[in-house]
Amino acid sequence: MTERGELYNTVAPLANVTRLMALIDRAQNRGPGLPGLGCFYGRAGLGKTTAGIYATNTLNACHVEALPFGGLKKLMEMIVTELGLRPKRLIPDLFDQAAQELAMTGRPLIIDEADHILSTKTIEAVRHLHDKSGAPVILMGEELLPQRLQAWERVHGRMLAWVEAEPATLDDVGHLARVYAPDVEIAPELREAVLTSSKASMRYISTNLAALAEFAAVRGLRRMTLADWGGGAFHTGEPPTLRRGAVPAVTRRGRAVA
Amino acid sequence: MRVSPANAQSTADAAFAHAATLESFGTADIALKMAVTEDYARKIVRAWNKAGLLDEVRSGHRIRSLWKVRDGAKPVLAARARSPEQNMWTAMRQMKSFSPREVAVHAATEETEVTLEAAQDYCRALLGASYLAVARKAVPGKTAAIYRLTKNTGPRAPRVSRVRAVVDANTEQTIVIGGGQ
Repeated sequence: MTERGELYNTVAPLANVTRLMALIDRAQNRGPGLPGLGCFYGRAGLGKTTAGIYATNTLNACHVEALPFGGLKKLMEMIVTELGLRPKRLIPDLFDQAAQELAMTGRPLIIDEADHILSTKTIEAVRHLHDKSGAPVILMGEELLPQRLQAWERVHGRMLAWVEAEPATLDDVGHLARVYAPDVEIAPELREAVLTSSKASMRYISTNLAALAEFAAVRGLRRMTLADWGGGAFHTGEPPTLRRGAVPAVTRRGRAVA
Repeated sequence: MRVSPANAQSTADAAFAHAATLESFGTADIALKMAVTEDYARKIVRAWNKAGLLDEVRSGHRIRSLWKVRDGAKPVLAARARSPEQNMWTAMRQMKSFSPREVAVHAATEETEVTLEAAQDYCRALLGASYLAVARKAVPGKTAAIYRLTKNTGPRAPRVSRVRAVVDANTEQTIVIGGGQ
């Protein structure tokens, strides 16, 4: 595999990456008196993590992945560790450490899987951290995050913007094709097939494009059309169909439906 | 505060954030606030000056020089200071499993270029140091290996370094010269 032009060799052109970068930029350069909380949400597989990685690397952000356990202390510890400090032992001390460092460096804080920190204690702590440090705080989570955040008026009211991760487009497929299948030219109709069967999910698109690249490499193809692929299966994320006889048939009750 | 390579960047960032709040500042202000020596503060200020972030307020013979932060100047130093390894390490820590190509693509930013070769080298080094486990073996000419990060030790990227060592064939020992262990 040879190295191509560096232009293609990043995830920056992907639409959802641009969206998150724009959100953080707005939060960083917000007008005086405006809140700097942001929410980036969408269903799994749309490339939120990819966007998070790019933002972390580009802006030197502090990125933590919230856990479903460990509570506030664990979250604070992770933030402090991620900021490159040695965590103290008590929650108030950890809070001060984090707030001071965020305020001094102005690094944005990205909390991934924010669905896990939806308890009054942690969410209020995050809000306080934002109020005290003034650093932008981005909450990333699944599609229901905005609705669930409504429970806390003070958090909800401080949101600068809600940005939804959108399903992938043909442009995204084209870009990912240059990344994951650099040696193969993929025909437009095959790209479309990849997009539809991947349900517009970045993750499945990447997997499917890698599979195409492998298929082409084995057969020495430089160019692939839908016919070359020959109706081969795509990775769609669907669970396999139930095998016959694997589960005893459910006995029907009541009136039979014709 | 003791300044080591590890916290030099955050020290400089914090110093800049402080300097930006001041009407004008001298090296002594930085040294006091950050609890570093005045020599070190001078070094930090000189770097900002070179990056065009400062305006000179006054200077001259036997006068304490004062500067102020130029309007809208941002310490872009932080982003520029990230090495390819740092970006790759950040990406690896967030991805569940990855191939070298995925690492390179996710780690590359506008400021930091990450080539596929660099990602392959870094993966190989980390695999050798048992930081990575192989999730799917490579098939030469077909597919690249897929790795999984097993030792997520923290935010700073492990560095690959060449060390001078003495190898004793009698005892089969390798002793790093000047290394603690």
